[in-house]
Amino acid sequence: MVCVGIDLGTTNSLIAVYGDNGPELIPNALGEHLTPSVVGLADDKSTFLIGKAAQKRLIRHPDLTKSLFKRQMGSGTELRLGRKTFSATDLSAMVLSSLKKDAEAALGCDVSEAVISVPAYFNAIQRQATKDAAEIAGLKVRRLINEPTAAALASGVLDRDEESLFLVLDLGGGTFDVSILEMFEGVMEVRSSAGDSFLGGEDFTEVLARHFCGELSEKWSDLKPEDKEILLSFSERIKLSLANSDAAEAELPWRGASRTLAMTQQKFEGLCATLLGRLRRPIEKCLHDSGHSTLEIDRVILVGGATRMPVIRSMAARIFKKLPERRIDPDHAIALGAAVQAGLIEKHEGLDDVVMTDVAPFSMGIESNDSSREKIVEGIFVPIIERNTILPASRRQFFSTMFDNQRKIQVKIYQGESAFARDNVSLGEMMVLVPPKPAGQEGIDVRFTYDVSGLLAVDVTVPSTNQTFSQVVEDLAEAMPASEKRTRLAAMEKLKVNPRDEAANVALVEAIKHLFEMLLGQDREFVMGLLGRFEAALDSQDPRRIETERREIAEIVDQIEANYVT
Amino acid sequence: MSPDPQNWPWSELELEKQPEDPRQVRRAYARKLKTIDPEADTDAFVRLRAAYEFAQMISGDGRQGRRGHVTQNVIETGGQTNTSAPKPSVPNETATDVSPDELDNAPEENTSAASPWDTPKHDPETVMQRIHGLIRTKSWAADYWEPLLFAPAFEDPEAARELEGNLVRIFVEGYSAEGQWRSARQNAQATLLGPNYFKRDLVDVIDRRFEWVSDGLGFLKRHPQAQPLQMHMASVLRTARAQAATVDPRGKPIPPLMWVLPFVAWLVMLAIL
Repeated sequence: MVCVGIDLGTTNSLIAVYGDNGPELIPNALGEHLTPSVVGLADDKSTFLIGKAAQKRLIRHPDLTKSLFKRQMGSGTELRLGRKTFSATDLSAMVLSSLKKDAEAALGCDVSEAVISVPAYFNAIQRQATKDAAEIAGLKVRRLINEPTAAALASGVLDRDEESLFLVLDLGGGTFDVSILEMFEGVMEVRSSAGDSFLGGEDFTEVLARHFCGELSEKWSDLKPEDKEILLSFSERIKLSLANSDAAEAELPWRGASRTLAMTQQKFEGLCATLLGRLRRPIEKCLHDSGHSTLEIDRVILVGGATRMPVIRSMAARIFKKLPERRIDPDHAIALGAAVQAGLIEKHEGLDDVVMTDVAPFSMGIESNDSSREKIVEGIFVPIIERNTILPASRRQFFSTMFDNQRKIQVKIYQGESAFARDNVSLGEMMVLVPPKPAGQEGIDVRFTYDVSGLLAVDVTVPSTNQTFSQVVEDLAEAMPASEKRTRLAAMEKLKVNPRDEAANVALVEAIKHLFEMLLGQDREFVMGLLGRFEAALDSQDPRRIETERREIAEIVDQIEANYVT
Repeated sequence: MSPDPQNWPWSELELEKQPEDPRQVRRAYARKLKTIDPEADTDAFVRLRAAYEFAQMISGDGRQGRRGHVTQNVIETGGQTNTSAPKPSVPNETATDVSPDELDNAPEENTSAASPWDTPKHDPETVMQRIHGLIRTKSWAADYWEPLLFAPAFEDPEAARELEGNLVRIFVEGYSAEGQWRSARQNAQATLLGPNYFKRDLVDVIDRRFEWVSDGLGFLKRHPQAQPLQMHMASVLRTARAQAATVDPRGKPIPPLMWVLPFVAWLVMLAIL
């Protein structure tokens, strides 16, 4: 039985395993570590494509392809693919199942358990949706690990003898997380975390795309989905190019003509001002909750592909007044950390003196009325386990009756940070009986116990009668019933997915076609020639010839892509 | 060793007595933590954790001594900011080569007045004066407030905390000077702060910047005295959202225009400033 670590990202997903040499990434069928989190239907509208092949079809077939669905996790939004609709959970399950097959091919054994990373700021519903996706893909989730914790675990294990307080800034494709951790004596202690689950590198790309849209004298909201994808894909390249240079310029085929668009680092920083402003609050919150100031932080570690942007690195440097580190490839850190957690769970001997403790990412409590002021305020949220409490935790609080001869108390359980119960996420409720007495003379003792696997137990005791009432909030709000998971699992197995051994060929064909869309004139003809050459090789059905041609052509395609932006 | 209640928390940490070096507390905690399985034995972990946190409260966390003077430095020089600082050099991959020693020294070097890391376009005081100006002239339009609240001068978390405190003070004092909002509305002679200043847009900007409503628990921890203010802001937001929901029954996300407008306003304000 192998337990793997999975980074189920907004843009890319990765899988890793803890081996004898520490955590190691597992390549996909294309030999790459990053599998784009994109799912689509092939031209026959019934075969599923997952990863790069699907990603390369975004521009040409936006109606048959879906990306960025992690943002809709747990929202109940229906996503359309051709004539069918899917939830973000279904699409994530397809990505997970593809990763699972990659791991099984590489390890030569069944992979049925996993540690999956989620943004620290994911709420209970989003976490449950992630667990559901894993189960649909046939993976048992041993633990959901918070992404910045995973990243820190990957970096911390490198030098476990060090004693330091460090901050992890994790800006992924679609989510932003900040965590402050302390490492001492082999103990990795998360002190606090905060984040924004709707802010990531993709937003920076969109800001750029909207700007270029203006330069082309077009209105973003009037663009067709394929035109938006062309602009987004173009902007993504400009953004990547700006990671290494002060200015970037490229030709964009637009409405049959070639347009030259340019961007400088400085201008980009100006365009991103609003997004950069949004990065501040989670950092402030995380510092405040940990009780540390910026100068007490020994190390700042950047994680997530979007931290390659110089604007992010210089902002981190300004705020913390020190050079941010990128010891591990920012794209790999989370998956590697998830694999370390898997190793910890399996009690891998290489990790026997490492302990990691995490915190509750959100507050949990019950609804109450505040009668401490002149006017009674109803519907107040009273947290019992406050956010950033070290887990596992068990806390209790006493609540008294409001009315004379009150016989019942309704205990409504919530999760969230609003001071008003109704603005938080409801996790369930229970009815408690109390003996009738004058108001305030009777009451209940409410105990919350929250463990590392995200299980919340609520125990209510009535001290005067010694009666206890308890409830385990296991299947948190809107979890999928087991029967439905089984149905979906069965449906999943029936789906026609492009076979693994053909994945590399399909991906290359789609990559060439994608390139064709992004080029003009002579370049287009040249790319057309490449496609003809590869298709001829495919027609020959000679595996050796196909492989040689694939390698050569892929190299040329990569080179054209690299030279595309100047 | 069975925990001796007389000697708690040291007994729980398997220490004889309070150690002289606070780092011994952490070491003892780490040692005992490795012998228990927090997942399987929650009670044991909760007991250990309670003892550890109490022990740290008594003896310090073993970090403060090392850092105290650095923090002090910053408090002393914190108010000074230079407006002509060079653009910070962009740290690149070579950052990984910086040794822990150099990193440890970094704060001391950089807290001097001419810090190369700061590029404040305006210092916090100037921005604060502008905010007072907005209040004096009763300019409650969010477009005026947004660029100030998100000003680069408050990129530093400590400066931002001070700004937040100032805002709370201004609003709370304005609030209690007038008594209840309802009566203030009836009172034609509303003094410094009119009751209409909490328009939805302004509340929205403040909430986006400091989460007074959306992170209500955090806000009340920082500013417990401001609960009535928070309740009022929450009701403004809630009414606004309820209205928005009736306008668009499909519950679509905010249209792109709403998202771009503040941004344009922010650019314009930057140009003006």
